[in-house]
Amino acid sequence: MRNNKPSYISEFIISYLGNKQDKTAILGDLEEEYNDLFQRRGSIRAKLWLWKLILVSFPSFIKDRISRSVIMYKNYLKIALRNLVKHKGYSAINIIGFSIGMACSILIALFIFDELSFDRHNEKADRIYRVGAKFGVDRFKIAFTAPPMAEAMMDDFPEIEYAVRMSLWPRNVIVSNSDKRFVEKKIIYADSSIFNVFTIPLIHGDPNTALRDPRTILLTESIARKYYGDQDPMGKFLTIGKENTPYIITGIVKDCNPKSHFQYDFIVSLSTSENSYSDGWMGHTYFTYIVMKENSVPSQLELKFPEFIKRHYGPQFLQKNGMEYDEHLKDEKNYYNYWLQPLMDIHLASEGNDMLSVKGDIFFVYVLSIIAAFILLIACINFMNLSTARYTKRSKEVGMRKVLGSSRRQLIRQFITESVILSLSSLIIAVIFINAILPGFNGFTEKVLVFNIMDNGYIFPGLILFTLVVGMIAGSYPAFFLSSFSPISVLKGAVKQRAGSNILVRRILVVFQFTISIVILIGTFVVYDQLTYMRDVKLGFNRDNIVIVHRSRALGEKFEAFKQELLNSQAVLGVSNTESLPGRHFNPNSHNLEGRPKAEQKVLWTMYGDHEFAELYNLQLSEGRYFSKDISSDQNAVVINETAVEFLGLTEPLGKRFHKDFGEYREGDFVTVIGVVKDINFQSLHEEIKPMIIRNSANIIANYTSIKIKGGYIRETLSMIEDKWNELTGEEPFQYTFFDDDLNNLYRNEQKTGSVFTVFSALAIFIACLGLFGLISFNAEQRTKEIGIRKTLGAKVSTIIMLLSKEITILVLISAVIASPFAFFGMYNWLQNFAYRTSIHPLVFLSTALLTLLIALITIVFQAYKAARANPVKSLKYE
Amino acid sequence: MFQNVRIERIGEAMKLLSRPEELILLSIWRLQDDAYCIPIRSQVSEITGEDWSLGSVYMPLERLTKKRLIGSFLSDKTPERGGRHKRIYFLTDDGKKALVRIREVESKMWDGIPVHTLETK
Repeated sequence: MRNNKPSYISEFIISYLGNKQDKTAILGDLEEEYNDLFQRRGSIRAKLWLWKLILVSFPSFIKDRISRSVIMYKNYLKIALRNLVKHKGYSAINIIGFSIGMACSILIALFIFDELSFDRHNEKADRIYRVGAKFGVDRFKIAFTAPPMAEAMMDDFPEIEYAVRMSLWPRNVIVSNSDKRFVEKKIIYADSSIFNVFTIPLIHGDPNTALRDPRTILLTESIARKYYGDQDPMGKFLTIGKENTPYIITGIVKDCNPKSHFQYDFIVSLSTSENSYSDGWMGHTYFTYIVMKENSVPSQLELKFPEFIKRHYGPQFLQKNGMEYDEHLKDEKNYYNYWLQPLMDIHLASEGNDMLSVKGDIFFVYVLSIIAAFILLIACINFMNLSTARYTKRSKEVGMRKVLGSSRRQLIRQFITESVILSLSSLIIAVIFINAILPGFNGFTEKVLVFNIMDNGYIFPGLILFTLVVGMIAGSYPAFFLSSFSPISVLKGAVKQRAGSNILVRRILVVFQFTISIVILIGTFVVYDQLTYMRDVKLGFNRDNIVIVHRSRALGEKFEAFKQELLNSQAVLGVSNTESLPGRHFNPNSHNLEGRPKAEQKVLWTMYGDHEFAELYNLQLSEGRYFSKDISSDQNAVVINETAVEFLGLTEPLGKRFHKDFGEYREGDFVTVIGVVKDINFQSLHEEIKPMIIRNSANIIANYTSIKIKGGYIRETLSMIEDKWNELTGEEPFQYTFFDDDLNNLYRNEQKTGSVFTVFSALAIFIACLGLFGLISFNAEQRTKEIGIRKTLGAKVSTIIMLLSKEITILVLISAVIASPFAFFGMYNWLQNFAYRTSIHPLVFLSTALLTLLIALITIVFQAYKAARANPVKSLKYE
Repeated sequence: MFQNVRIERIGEAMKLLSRPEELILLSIWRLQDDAYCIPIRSQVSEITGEDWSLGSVYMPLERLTKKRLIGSFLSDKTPERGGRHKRIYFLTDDGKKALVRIREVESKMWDGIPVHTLETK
């Protein structure tokens, strides 16, 4: 006889539904019956019969298994709610702590998800890479590559599907049509293949041709509305800056996704730019993005790069330098190669920095998530401590339940239910809280985060899951502790049985809370120390009372008139016209000293300044002199800084000459060093001082005009400057910034980190102190009688306060000792980001310890005082 | 073979049984060593001429066990059942007494009634 088995799935269901004790016998019966039916009536009948059985038994299963546990949970719920209401103060402490902790974590989770979701909207996001170049011994990485590279790569590498070159309009510029003109910031150049690489929806226009021809431009929807209102902009013309030839509008794209690492309002065809046809392999001018074909491996592509570079750049190098490229590469410091950066890494990556990107800060993301987790943990510890401290109140209930047949597992379930109820009610408050502070948080993080529970299917279940986890973590220790009482001793009244180990655990948890709080607090101090240090460090130049007027090139030949008008005012102390300024972008350019071989060119960071620059910014000269208006030969003079002198290995810098042009060397065309300025921190303090060269900008009208104003006259003078500007330029928009602000903006990330630390350290300490407050109140209540007796025997109020606060003091001091090394190493690492950094003063540790102790004592002293002042007659009568 | 025997203590005096319980009790007695669910079901179905579902056999078996009229034990594993045990039932002393009682009550109830008077045309 063949043995026909029922399907596994039905067997599984039956064994699950079935009554546990007799499972095998019943399964055996079923199988035998099934087999019999199978023999007699065929497989279909047998199967039908089996499934009918399963279906029919469902209702009683539900009744048996589920309803019973629901009844139990109903009871847990009732007891939990009664307890919550009965001990209002204690519930309030827990709920406040939980809701603050949860609100922080949810906000930070929103922030982090947003940071991580950059560029993911591109359909091919996982296959897009940016090609960059890396140089030298330390493999310095940049994100720029040469103009012909994209096309050569498409030709040479079959694994590349598409490639696009992009670049950025270098500065703010006026865009105008026949009747409107605005200053625009976000203009990018791109090849027409941009549509094959990135997901940029075109509303009007043909993706194949829109960016093909020179002088074509695409607008985003909102820009189209800004310039043309309801009219159709297609085929109309826009002028950018002072260019003579206008651009024709060939398409409208959707507004740029705020989560794209490059932002644009206009896209200009790259073919417009002369440079895009260049075949020079050494000019790093474009961002190049490639799409890899599915299943191709980027690391294997990278292996082919050195060969690729030699093939294309080698001949050019030979022709230019008269030297084989291979020879050149033998020197490690001439190392040169390409590298691939995955698109989705660009936003948070620290390498390959460029001006195109909206930069995220991975450090910030880490710090935030760690801090959020810790704050939540502090709130959980409050719950643990307060519920275990109050164990005497619950021990009778536990004993009773055990006597009536409750198993330990059920008790654990009950206590965890209680903490989950607390965390769920905190969730509601947290959600309200988040909605209230989200606008502020958005302003601070410069994001547009939205918190809407109905937004997508994940948020609500996610929140519930999160809350359950929080509740379970908080409830775990109390549940195990409280359910461990033996009913006999509890009901006999011997509840102190496990007090010793419990108190120790509670102390450890308090120390843990305060350790975390103190670490964050020390972090706050160090960040602010560094910020103050950067503000006060001797930059080597004057930064006060200087207004920068941007785009002064718009004045054209009227610049001199503008300058004179300003200088006529009593309040204006000086006017200087420069290309670039300290704290702004300096161009690294190759310079070659006269008489040295071409291969020995050196990179100096270049700016153009006029003869007023040194005086206005108070630059100190260590040798020679600065440009003078009266010496005509100064047009071909340069000034370098001390670092440059050292870098070039000069002993007598004055009178040394550089070839005037950066790349090519026309004999007899030189600039001469006439002075050496003392080193200034012309870049951010994250960087070491670099070799700098100032070229004379006397013959050009440069972009920035610095105006030094007498202190106290800033506002009036500013409106005067604006009037003059409008008078002279007509309709050019007036743009200005304060130099001081510009410099401070270099440290925006640090300031953000500082404020985050402040807020979170305050929250952490607040929540930890809430817990202390609960503990001390409870403690004082427990010791009412003791205090009464002590007072009758003559103890002073101060003695009793001491008695109650001694423990906390010791715990906080222990926390400070544990926290200090952690904080020291953490902040020491953070400070390594700066070339110029403050040292961590030991006083910081002492003062944070004292500050925390002070806050903790303030928290408890009120309760202690109340307990100590109580009339002993009353307290001894109590009970 | 008689491992795992559930020894039932003698319970309270016999109560009146429902008809299915009675039939199954009898069936167990008839089947003796082979009295487990499947043969019980087929025997009862055959004699009554109705199809008894497995559930309608399990429930009375459970109730009879509770009333301690029957006991049960697990047999050795049998290969034709996918290597599973059979639960074999047997009558306890109470069970046997109950059967005798039923028989007594029944025959007393029938006493003096000629069967042919019940026959209809």
